[in-house]
Amino acid sequence: MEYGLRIATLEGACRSPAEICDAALWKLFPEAPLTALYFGSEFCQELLPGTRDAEAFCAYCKERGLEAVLLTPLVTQRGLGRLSRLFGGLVGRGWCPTIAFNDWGVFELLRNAYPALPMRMGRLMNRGLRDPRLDMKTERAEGENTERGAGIRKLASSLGVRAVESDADLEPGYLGTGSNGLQRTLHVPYTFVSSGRNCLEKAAAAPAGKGLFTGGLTSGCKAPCRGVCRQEHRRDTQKPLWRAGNTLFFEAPPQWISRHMALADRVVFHERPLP
Amino acid sequence: MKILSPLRSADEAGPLREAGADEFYCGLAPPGWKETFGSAWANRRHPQSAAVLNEQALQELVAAAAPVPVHVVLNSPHYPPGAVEMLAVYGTRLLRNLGISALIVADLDLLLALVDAGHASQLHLSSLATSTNAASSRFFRSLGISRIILPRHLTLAEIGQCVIHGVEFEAFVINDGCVFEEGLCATTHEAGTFCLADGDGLKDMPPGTLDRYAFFKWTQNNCGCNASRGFPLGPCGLCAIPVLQSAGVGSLKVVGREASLERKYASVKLTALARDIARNGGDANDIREATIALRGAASLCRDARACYYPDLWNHQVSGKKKPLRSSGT
Repeated sequence: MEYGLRIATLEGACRSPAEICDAALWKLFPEAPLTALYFGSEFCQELLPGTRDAEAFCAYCKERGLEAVLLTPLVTQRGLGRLSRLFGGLVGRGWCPTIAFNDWGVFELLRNAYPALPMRMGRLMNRGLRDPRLDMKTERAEGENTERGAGIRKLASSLGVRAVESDADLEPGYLGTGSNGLQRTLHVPYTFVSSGRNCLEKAAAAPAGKGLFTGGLTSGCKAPCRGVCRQEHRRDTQKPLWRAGNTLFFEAPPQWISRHMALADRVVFHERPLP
Repeated sequence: MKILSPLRSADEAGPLREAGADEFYCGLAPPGWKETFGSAWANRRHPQSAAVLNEQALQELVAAAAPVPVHVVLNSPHYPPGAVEMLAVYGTRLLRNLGISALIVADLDLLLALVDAGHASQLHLSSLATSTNAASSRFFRSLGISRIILPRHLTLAEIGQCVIHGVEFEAFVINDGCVFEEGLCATTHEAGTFCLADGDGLKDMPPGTLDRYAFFKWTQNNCGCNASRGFPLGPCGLCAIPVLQSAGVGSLKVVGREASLERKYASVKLTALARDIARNGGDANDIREATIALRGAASLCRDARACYYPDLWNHQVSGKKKPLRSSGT
């Protein structure tokens, strides 16, 4: 086992996971070294860092002997161009962060244009159910369903991807057995529920009648969601829900995380939900 | 451009073909599915309200639809243990023995199993697989699939940027929106439509934001499932057909497998009207005028309130709406 931290800024980034993890949840985890920091955005191309910030992140990780993992989201062609400039800028300055991709187009870009950058298959590539209104599926007598995701893991492994990542969904098993050489990584405790481009935070910050939902897809975004995380209550679930940027998350119960942990080689701790 | 219509039974095929359908799609579960997988869905829609009853009904449907091709939807984003194997075998049967032209697939495990089985050229990538850029199009083309169904929440310019040679593209043009990106929504309609109550429990939002969100959600939900003169209301991208045509989109998706024949018929008829105007050189304003004349509900077109592609109307000259030109994307 090894640990990673999902960070929003470099300030105070390198900490023990025990400092940010709920005490009851932390009891589940064995002593293990911190090996990686995760930076960037998994859910919104408007939140991707610029080259200077990404370079500072790489330098910070290098100084501390940690793997620098740059998270990337589903992107449009414009987002892909932005990523290409970011990757090119980093490689041109001698940095080789690991890239967690959540879009086959980003994978294609990496494979063809930036083969030196190591690749991890991000958690959005697992399209398993994460409905907070439902309970986790009961474990089968024969164990977790590690066949789920077998095809995608085989493909990823054959194409040079180093790791597969997920959060705690309703049916553990997507991370597999590790037999194909992919490092298995679990993100805790915030599981994503839904995400999209019709961002409520962006709409809230837009002038009345302008830039709302689909009507705002062509307008720019100044990322008013940075640093904002709102708790949300629903009548149909008791699970704590949070809205961060364009994404809704819930806090996975410790029992869920415990079942997923049995299939993980690395656990990445999130101090708060981040889009 | 082809019009892709939903279809649920043989008796719907004739009227929908007459209304203008050039291809059909339907959903069904393999024999033995329910006994093996219980309430799990074989595709994204409820089996009771949207699926073809059984294999015999499918054969009758295919015969009634001929020569119009029929595609089968197997686009659940995830499957229970053993389901991918069953669906890969059944997919082969659908394509080889039951006259089905193509399979619409979202789950990558199932897609890869069907590619391995030699069916790549008869696979359509579901919008749930969220292919949103040209590099992604190239990735799926490299697997050999024949069509990419573009997700709902792309602008017309972004759609144009996704289109590459060597693969077909399909875009949504009418009915059934989604609040979230459907492929990144990890909830299930089996437990009720999650997004309809989304945001209701939020506090400290700026005044009016949640009201505007509620209106947006209402439009996505087919304006509360309302109709005007028999035509379903809700998300509509008909005026964008000339731009979609120019961008290289080859198929126009009419959504609503679970809708009544009357609603399906009205949706296909309206789409055919718009497509024919585009074929004859008409522009977005011509389509808008004709659509409102037939359907009514002009207020939904005001300020692009229910537009799938509102960026079509972003350009205004002297206070008059001026749409994107079909040759300008």
